[in-house]
Amino acid sequence: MADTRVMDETAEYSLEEQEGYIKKLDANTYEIAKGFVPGMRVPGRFYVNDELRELMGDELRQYTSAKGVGGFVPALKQIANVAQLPGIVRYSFAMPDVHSGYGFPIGGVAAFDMDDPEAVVSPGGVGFDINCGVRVIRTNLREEDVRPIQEELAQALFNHIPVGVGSKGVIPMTMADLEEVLEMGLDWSLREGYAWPEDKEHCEEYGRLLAADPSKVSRRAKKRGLPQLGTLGAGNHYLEVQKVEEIYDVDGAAKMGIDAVGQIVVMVHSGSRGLGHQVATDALIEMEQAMRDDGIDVNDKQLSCARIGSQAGQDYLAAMACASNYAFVNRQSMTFLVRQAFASVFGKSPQELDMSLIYDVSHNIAKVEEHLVDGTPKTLLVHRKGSTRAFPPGHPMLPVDYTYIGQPILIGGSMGSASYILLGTQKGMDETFGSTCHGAGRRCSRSKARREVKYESVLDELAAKNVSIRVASPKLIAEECTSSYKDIDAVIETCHQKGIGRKAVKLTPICCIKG
Amino acid sequence: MSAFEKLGVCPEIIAAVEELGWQLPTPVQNEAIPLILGGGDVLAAAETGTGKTGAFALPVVQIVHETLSDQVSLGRSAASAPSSAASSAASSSSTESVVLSTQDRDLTCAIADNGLTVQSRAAYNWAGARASCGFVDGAVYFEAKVTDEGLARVGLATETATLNLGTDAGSFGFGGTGKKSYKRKFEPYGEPFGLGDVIGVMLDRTQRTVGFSKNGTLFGTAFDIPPALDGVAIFPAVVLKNAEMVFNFGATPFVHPLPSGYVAVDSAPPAWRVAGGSVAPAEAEHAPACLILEPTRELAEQVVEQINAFGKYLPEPQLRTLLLTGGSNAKEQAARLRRGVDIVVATAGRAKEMLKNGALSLASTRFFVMDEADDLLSAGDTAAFIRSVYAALPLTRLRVQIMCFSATLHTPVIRTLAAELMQHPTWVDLKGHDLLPATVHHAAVRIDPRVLRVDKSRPVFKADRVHKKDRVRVGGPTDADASHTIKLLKVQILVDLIDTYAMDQAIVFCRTRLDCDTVAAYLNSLPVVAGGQASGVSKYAALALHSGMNAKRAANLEAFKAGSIRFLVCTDVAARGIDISGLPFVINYTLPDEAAQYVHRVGRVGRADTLGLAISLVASTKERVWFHTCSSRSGKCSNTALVSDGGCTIWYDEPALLGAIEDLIAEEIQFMDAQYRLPHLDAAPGSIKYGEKVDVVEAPSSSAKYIDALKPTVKTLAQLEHNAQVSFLTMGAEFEGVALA
Repeated sequence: MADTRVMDETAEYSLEEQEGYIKKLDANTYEIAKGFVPGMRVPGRFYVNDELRELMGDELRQYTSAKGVGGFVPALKQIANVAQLPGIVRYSFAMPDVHSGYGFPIGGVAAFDMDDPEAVVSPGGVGFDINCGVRVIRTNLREEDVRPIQEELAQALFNHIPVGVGSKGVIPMTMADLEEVLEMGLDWSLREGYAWPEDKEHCEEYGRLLAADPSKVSRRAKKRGLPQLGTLGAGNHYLEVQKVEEIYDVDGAAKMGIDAVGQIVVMVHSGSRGLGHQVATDALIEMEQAMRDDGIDVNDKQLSCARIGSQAGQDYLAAMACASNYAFVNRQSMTFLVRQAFASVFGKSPQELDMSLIYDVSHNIAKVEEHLVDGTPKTLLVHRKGSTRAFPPGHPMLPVDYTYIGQPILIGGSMGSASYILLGTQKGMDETFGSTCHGAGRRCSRSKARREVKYESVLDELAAKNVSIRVASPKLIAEECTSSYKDIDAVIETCHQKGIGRKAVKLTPICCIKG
Repeated sequence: MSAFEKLGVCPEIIAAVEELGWQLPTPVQNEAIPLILGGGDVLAAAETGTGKTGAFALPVVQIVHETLSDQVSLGRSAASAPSSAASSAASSSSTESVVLSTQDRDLTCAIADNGLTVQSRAAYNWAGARASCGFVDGAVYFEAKVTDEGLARVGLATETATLNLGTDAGSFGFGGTGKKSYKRKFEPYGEPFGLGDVIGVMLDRTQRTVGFSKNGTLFGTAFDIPPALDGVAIFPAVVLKNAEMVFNFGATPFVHPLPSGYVAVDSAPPAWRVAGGSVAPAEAEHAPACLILEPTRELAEQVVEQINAFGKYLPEPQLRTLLLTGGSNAKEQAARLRRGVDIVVATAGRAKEMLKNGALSLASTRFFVMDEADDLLSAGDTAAFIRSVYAALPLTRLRVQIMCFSATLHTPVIRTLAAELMQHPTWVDLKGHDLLPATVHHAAVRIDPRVLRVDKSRPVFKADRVHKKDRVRVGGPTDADASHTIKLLKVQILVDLIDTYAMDQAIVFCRTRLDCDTVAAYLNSLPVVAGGQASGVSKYAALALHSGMNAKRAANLEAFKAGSIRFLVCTDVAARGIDISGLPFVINYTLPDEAAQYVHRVGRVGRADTLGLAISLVASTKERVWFHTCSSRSGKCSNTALVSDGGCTIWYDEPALLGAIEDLIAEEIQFMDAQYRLPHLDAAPGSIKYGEKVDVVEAPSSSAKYIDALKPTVKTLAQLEHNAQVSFLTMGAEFEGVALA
């Protein structure tokens, strides 16, 4: 009954009326019926446990009681708004770590039919930090090798890896080099000696999006990117030395070179820095015009988009590919620095320390993929914003090492919490276009966290957990503390139970470097 | 969710910026806001006109408001000093507990809230601190424990002695290497000490001796205090290099027994004590939490406007912002300061004045912003002033956050200042060495006195009288002749350029006030050519703007903005902070003697994607110019001898200066040809529309050549991927069975 009635934007609805559109399908699956916001082409679908569901309800309640204040749109409304975009197929999805973002929710997955001339691409569906992602580098060290010198190691990493916007990045670059970075991605790192040949194998898309065309990236974006290559950046980005806490899938872990609890790995979480931000900003402005030209109407002006086939759409995809390549090179450059730092601290070469890249995933990207829609293969443009690709065993886009176990899905936790490695499943492929969560997901806004948490107490907590921390911006750690995020263990458990990724390894931090 | 939310900006400020029509943060805002909110020191370079003011004013409003709210919720008065140490440091000669003074210390020496833990993280410099109370009589004892590895020297010092203990006649030190020191003489004494050791210090004013102990072992008299110091208070003191110590003046039981004849410092009777000079606690009550220094009044006004706009929707406590600049009533400002303010936006001059007369106190200041720092620092003794501001800031565990914004970070002054005052600043350099926007075209005209002819038919230019006493001849062979000719040629070519480029508006930069006056007077004296008067404004209407004419400054600026004045002839100092969007031309009548200043001057054009042309008149030989060393510093001086001969002139070497500028901007400045065409741009005057908005010309991408050629291959690859995936999807079930088998 609910989906026959459409809610009117101008009218006021009670929380109960709004909640009436949301149906619980099973323990952790919910559907948002058409009509929850005007113009929905498909229903929304999200996967959360009871506790996370309550958080989403709270957002909606606040929004309903203080309508319009601060322009804040709750994640539930955002999931539904995305369902309104032309060309969307099946559902507007949200993963268990969903929270409100710019236009699209973070933790969202939306796929658009490439064969539909009306279908759109939206920068808001990718996010400002294009190809923000996570990589994990393994070592053959054990916890007992690192514990006695963990402070020294943290300092060495902090010294090696610039967190801010350096005047000169650690990687010497000219504008001409940058052009090549944008075009070649990880192939550039390989050619310049910052990558091992096998690193490339273990990156999503082999570290290079072929659609990249540097001429579609504005000069301003390039200028922002030039000094920042090889820098971590502030916000939620970090570099962590972690230990293997628990192994759930012994065979899967073994394929990734993880064989024992206590083994040390390094996780890098970073993206395309100012360059990606500028590409997104340029495109959002560009598309406002394109939308007027093509007569595309959306519920929220933050949902700027353009037809995939239009000039604005193609230009954005080419520029987004460049920013993605930049992000791959950025993470690779930091990998190079991490290897150097470890070599200097442990007095062994990175090869001797077996510092191989396990995998590198992107969780802010749009990609052309093939998926079954109602039993028929379709070419789709899959937007993943705060959501990780999770391809099943046997998928042809996976490196041969992981054909039998499925794609490693690297999930970075919040500061001080656990991180996970999951593996892709057929269920995820069938259900969510081969997608799963990307992290814990924010529970409260940064400004709220600032008000409620004192960074000194966060530092004490980390010290109690025996985590060595180095930060450039001390108050940032209040914004980034575990209590500002949803419970990562609950998020992972929901993914695992739902079958959109299965648990392989749990990691916990020893050293944490933040911007 | 607003894009500002992601940066950590609070909803009330977001509501305010949305009202200003800000949807997306600019690059510098995107980078700097989270870092400033993050609490670290920030060193940012950004072009003017890129949202720079918002980049610091917005987060500053938020952090100041957060600080005030915290203090209110902790039940403190809104602006009270955060540390108990500061107030107890001010104890008079009562019997309050002695602590280390947060005021009397080196810049890089930090003192914890309790006033007993002292730390210095500077790896290469000694940094020290003195106690809040000294002693003129009796015999006192205190202990200091080494709590972190590093170098430490502990001891005693008079209030006027160096904090680098043992290097002058007023201080006595005992160092960790097992040496005692006085007047730079380091001699073996006792034994070395290090982490975990407790050093006892004994000061006996009656016997005039100083002694030390380590872990309870007394080493005997180290120094005899010279009688010259009788009656002069001697304070406990310490100096550290990358180390930490914890002091005990007797507030808690000593680790080792009190040596006989001594009492704990804290137990000393008032008669023995002399308080160190430090800030009175009342002063901290209304002191601002944030100080923002601006190079000019206009900029300061803009910043205050923005702060007020951003803070509009913030809940109680209301932010109180004060504009503290010259040109307005100082008494009223002082009264406002007494009533209490939270953010002070000041120009250096007025701030200095107010600090000096005590109206402005920095006792509660937690945030310090230097805007246009390169400009700030280029003005006379501002660098010294900033150091004195820094020294006046409280340094407790709640450290002062310092933010420095500058057009460039790549000058030695900025680097030195940053290294000296800031702690691990995060760099935000969105420009790297590329200092100027691509929308600025640079050109120069070579003023060669041997080649160019002075046009005698034109009105006579009264130059700066440097050659008044020389027998100079236009086109003559001597250096003085050449210099004189250059002066006449420059003004002539200035007029030519104005005509050739049909300039409606330009800023003309001169070196001296006198030059400004003579050039402006000359332009105004020119016969008005027909056609130039349509608007009722002379084609050459010019005004001099320099620091000698403060009163008319604002009016002149307004006249220029309104267009009734076409040419602003000004000095570097006067031009600071002038923000006129779409200004088409800047002329460097004389090159600046500092290359960085060129960037500032030229930065007035090419803003906000409008094309601008910067023309420099560059003499091919040296020109003799004023350089007043006398007290008159003005046109009244007629001492035309060289400075090296005790006079007030120098030889100005523009070719060398041009080279330095080219090095800085990493671009060769091309000379115009005889028709004032721009050879490198292949452009005749008038063919490029300066002052108009343009799409920034993209440099051709190096990969453009083969990207197109590769497209078919990329397409084929995509097709292959497509095929592989489709087979996988259609054969999925079968494959899965095989894989799992």
